[in-house]
Amino acid sequence: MKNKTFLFASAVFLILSLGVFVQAAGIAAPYWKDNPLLLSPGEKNTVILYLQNTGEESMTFEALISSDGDIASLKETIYEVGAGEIDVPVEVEVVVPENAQRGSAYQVSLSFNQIASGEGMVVVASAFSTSFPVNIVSLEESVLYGSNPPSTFSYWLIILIIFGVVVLGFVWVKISKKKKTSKKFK
Amino acid sequence: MRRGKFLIVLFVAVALLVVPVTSANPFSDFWGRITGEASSGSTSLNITIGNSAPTIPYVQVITAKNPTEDSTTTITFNFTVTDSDGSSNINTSSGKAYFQKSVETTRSNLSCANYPAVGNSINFSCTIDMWYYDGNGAWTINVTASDINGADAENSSTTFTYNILTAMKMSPTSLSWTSVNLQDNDTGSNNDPVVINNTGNAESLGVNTTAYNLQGETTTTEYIYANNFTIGISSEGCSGTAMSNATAIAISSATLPNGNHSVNDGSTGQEQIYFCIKGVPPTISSQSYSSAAYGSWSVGVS
Repeated sequence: MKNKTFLFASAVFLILSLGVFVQAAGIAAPYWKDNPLLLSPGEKNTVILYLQNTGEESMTFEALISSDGDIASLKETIYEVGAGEIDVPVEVEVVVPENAQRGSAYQVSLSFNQIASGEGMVVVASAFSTSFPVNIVSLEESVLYGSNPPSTFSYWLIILIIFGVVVLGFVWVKISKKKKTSKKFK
Repeated sequence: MRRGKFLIVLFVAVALLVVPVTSANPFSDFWGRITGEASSGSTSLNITIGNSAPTIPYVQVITAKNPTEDSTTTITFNFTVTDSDGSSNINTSSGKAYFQKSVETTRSNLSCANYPAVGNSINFSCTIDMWYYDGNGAWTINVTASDINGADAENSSTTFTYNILTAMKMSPTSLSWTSVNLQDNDTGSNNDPVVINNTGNAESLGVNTTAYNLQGETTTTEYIYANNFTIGISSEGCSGTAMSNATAIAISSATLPNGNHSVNDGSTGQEQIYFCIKGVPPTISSQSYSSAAYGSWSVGVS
């Protein structure tokens, strides 16, 4: 019995030994509870967060996202962050529904769970979460206001105007030449 | 004869008029006496030379910055000082810059470097370090300079955004129990607590743990279940929060504040958690048990 107890205790000791490396990691975000992302109905924006790892070993994370109305999605879900890296981008695409009500808010939450390796031991991994609200505002209040490219209609209008100027210039040159020729023969 | 007399009279008259005016002699106040004009006197003279105070018309925009985990973020920017009295009137060693936010420690550079003058202006370049625990949000950029006559200029009209960083570091990363018998209850680890350091600036983070059943490595049908473990903020952790297999459980009363965890007082930017085995199933056999089958445990902050 004594032997059994000793063996059991030894086993428990082995089981619960963990890794010896320092794990240090985090996620930097440009928006938070008191600094929401402002978008108007129908707008789309890519928010970039940055994974950091100042620990001694490379770390791999699985990212999970949840959002009200499923307005946000991740382009990638697995991220490897080398030791000392502080700027591994995480792109979150946010698409606001066309029928979103001005004044409403959608919550976006992200969690990052370390994928740790280890055999024969219990390995303790790091995990951290961040979240930010997306507030629905008017076009003028949106973070995208003033940065939107011209619409397709504007492009065609510009092309039409340029074409018209070229044609008018060509016609004018032709008429001028004709006048010169008729004066010469008079 | 008459002409000669005339010349003599003329000479004397001229002498009497010119000599007093041009020389300091007993006749020097003669003109003053006959005209009533003050002959001589002293007076004080006070001349004030004007000085225009310099101005700071331009402060470079600082884009939003991320904190750097457990370290500093270096921020460099420029500002322009202009003096209508000329750039040589600007005190080139007077450029100072401050980052200020309510409740936060002011970060500063009291000796910004200056560039060569351009017209009436001089550009200054300032570098300031922000710490990982400095609060997120809008920080005021306050820059000052003065001229060689001591007139000051200040500009505190601009701000920059310091982003939020949710980050942590924990130690030790190995736990041990000296001995666990089949009959033992409430056995705490002998090398805890696990100290969790807040290495970002997110405030009051909650701490959660996801535990998994430990499966026997020889007899795989035997387990030490996750709910045999409790985790808490006071020694030995045996009055703490019970774990549940594959479920993230918030550790009751565990809060990770932001702050300079290097103080290492157990509370500034730190939280401590203790692990306890409440007991083991009495029917299991002596062997190695591990999380290899179901995945590593995790300690998370949010």
